[in-house]
Amino acid sequence: MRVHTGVMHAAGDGTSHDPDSGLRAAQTPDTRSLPFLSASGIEPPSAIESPSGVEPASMPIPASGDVAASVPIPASGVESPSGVESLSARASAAGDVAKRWQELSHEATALPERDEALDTLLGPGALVKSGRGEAGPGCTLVGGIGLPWLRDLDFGTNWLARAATLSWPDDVVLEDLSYAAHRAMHRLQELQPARVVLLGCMPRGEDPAGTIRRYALAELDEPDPDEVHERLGEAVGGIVDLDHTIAVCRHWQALPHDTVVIEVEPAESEFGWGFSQPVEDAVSKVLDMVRYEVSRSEGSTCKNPPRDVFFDRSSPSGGESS
Amino acid sequence: MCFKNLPIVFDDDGKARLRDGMSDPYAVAVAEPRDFVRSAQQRSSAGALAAPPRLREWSIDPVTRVAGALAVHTVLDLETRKAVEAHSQAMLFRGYEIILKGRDPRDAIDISSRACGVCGGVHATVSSLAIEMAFGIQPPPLGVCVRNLGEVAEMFYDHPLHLGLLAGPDYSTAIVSVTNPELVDLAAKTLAPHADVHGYVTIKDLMDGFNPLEGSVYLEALEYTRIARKMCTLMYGKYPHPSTLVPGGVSTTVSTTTFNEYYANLGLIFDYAKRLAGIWDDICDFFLQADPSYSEVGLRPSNLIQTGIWDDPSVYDACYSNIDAWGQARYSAPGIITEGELITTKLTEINMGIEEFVEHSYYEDWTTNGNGSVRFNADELGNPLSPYHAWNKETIPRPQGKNFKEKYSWDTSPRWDRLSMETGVYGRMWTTAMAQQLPDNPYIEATGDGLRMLLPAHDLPETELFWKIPEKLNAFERNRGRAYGVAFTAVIGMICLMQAFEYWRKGETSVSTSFKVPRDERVSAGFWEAGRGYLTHHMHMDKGRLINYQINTPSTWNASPRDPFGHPGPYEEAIVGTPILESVADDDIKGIDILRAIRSFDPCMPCTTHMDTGRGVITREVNSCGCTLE
Repeated sequence: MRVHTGVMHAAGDGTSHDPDSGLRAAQTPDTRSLPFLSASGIEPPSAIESPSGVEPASMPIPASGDVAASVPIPASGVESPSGVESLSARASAAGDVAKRWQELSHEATALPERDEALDTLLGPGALVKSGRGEAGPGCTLVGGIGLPWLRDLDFGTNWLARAATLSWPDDVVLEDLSYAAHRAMHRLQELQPARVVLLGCMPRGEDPAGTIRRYALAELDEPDPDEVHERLGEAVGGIVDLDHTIAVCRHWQALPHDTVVIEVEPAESEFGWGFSQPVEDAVSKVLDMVRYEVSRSEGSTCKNPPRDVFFDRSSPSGGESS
Repeated sequence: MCFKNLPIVFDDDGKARLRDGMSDPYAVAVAEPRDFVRSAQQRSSAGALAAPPRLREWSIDPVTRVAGALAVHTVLDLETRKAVEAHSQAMLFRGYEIILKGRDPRDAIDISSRACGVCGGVHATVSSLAIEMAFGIQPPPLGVCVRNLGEVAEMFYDHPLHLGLLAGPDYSTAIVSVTNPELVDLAAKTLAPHADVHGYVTIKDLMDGFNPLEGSVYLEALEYTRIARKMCTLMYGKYPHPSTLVPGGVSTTVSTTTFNEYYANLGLIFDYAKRLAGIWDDICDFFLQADPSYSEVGLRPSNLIQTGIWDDPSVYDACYSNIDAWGQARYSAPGIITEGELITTKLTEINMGIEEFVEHSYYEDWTTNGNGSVRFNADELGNPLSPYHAWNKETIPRPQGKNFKEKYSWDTSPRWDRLSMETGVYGRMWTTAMAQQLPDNPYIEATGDGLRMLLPAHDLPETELFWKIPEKLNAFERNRGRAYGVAFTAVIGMICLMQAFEYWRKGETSVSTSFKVPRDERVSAGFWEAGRGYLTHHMHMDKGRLINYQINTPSTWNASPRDPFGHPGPYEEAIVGTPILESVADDDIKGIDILRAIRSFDPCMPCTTHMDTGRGVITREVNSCGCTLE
């Protein structure tokens, strides 16, 4: 025999308690009509207690994907006194890297303040410059895809972390899309960007490490449904992959026509931090390319980037495109 | 008696000890791996081997780019149309245990979280549990509630994903029309009994819904993963891989709105759960009635291990000394079931019965590698521990060539009381139903033979569901159980939400507690569950650093290779004896029944498989992530 808990009665849902009538008689609340807490006539505490007194973890920044997303990541390791590679030690070097990054960037400005509430609202690994509250339909989304702690393969995320320290046009949203394809698709469906620039390191094995390839979505063949199904099958199993994201998002029209992919051939994919030298060298070139992509006028073709800026994937040897 | 194979006995006070007079109580007598094909041949002869049956090797091998992979090698007897041999092979080394060695224990939360890409929060949660046990801290009640609610939401991501996108297509018109076209014809003439709930008039309509990419069941599941993630994000701030799970609670900033929004989404889940139960009842019953031999697909003994999930905030204190009390108070009970009988619900007994073997895995046996000393002979309560226990384990990878008589998998062979155990959402429902330890509540009742669940009204009316413990544990009952598991999780979510409202209303709004990292030696364990079941992190730290950190996941159990005693792992057991029920010529067999058997476990290793039929290669997809792997 089941009885109502005090909690249920306190919820003010008007349930009746008949100890002999079993579950059916419990008359559980209709979730459409049960008053939510604020409507129950009982005011919640005025001050919301945030976690306090929690000793900072060894990482002064949140965690895993966010580690990469929230601070610039040093390219080289920092050893802790014990000899154990310390995440906190690496994070403490972030300031130096930010400084270096600002020096090499064309439009360096002061770091924008992060909006923690929007971080939460915008989902996994969200990272957007200040003013992203305006983000919505019609924006330009620069999405990085990376694999955490796998050196060059974490390019998309770490590049974004550095880029977030720079100033960008108001309609540009920088966001970590390092999650599975269907998750990225859901995010794109919510955001409805007019233009998307996707970034990542992809080991194609056809070009030298550090080669930058740029291609427009319109240049790619439509993915075969069987391929989409296979890729989605992997994605829901947790695989984060730029090609999966492109195939799945494209199948359900989540990517705008004006979508450009900029990818770099990796050299290192072992567990660890920081880019290899060839990929590190590509960072500023990619910045130039992204600057171009987000600033080209509406309606201009995304197939004709300026020469001597980047390479075209369609070229067998990764040579310059015209 | 709790243990039949391990040398552990209990005194009159219930205290465990090793049996007297045993010089080497945990000795392992290595047996020849059981070879099903050979023994089948031998049995059929009277002194001499019979003519070889029409055997065909059938390998489902992976091609994967980034994460883990599963391969299953089988032998089909085309005479009897049954699988007669199986080897489950985890293809990738994971190495989290090695990565974590020497790190600050708090790093384990973030790093171990990446062990699984599907269950993006469970590893972080169980890691938090292990650390807070080691640190001697206890989260405030609302912190426990928030953690529970996040975990409820995570299940809403996992179960629909598997049912709709991974297992579901195996029952779709697109697949069945190739393997069993007569079933499609029959389905078109068969009315769906639960049409009034889910809206599909005939079974064929349902099977159409399972078609990949375009079927409405498939697409609805995809959409519900979005809703589930929203709910996760409300509690965790971020999903997957939340950054807010900390020892002693969560660092999420919650508000009235947080809980209200969660509640609104939970209503959607209530209705989805009602539909899912009807959908899978209709599909399973249709196949089982069309051909009762389907009950043999994926059949294995009902041996289950569960670690329990969703703590009662008024009982949980993170202390190992009280582990049985707070474990048994969980809304989903921990437990051991062997041959369908509930053996125990005590986490201490579950813990002391665990061993992990590497006889057929690409690792070195740590008990023979060192100086022979065992790190821990007993837990802090004096319960004996095996040298093969996780607290004593060392991860020593030894890559080498595949040899089914020797080593063939990166997965280890966890065993409880030296038995091959399975785990899953149906397992936790099973233990909960049999344990009958649920606190009084208006939504769920454990009846001993099943679970009675009352789903509140949303767009669909209030609905009572009853999940009955199945007589046979086969592929269909695994999937049916998983579908009912959404309802099971939803009503527990409602209980936890009501608790959260109550604490909030009383002003008990703290969700975390302060702590300091101890510098002395500590040993602890986190017991929790992933969508697929059992999940433990065993931890040993000293001087603020991890000495040993061992992760054991559901698929470590389910995908395990043979053990030193020659017994197969659960996938292997489930495949052997699975009938080939395709109504096509031998050369056209697609292996769908083998795949149904494997997929019903919700395997957690990503792989694209190549099914070698002997007449070419068919590329197929098998689901998952890397959390099976070491």
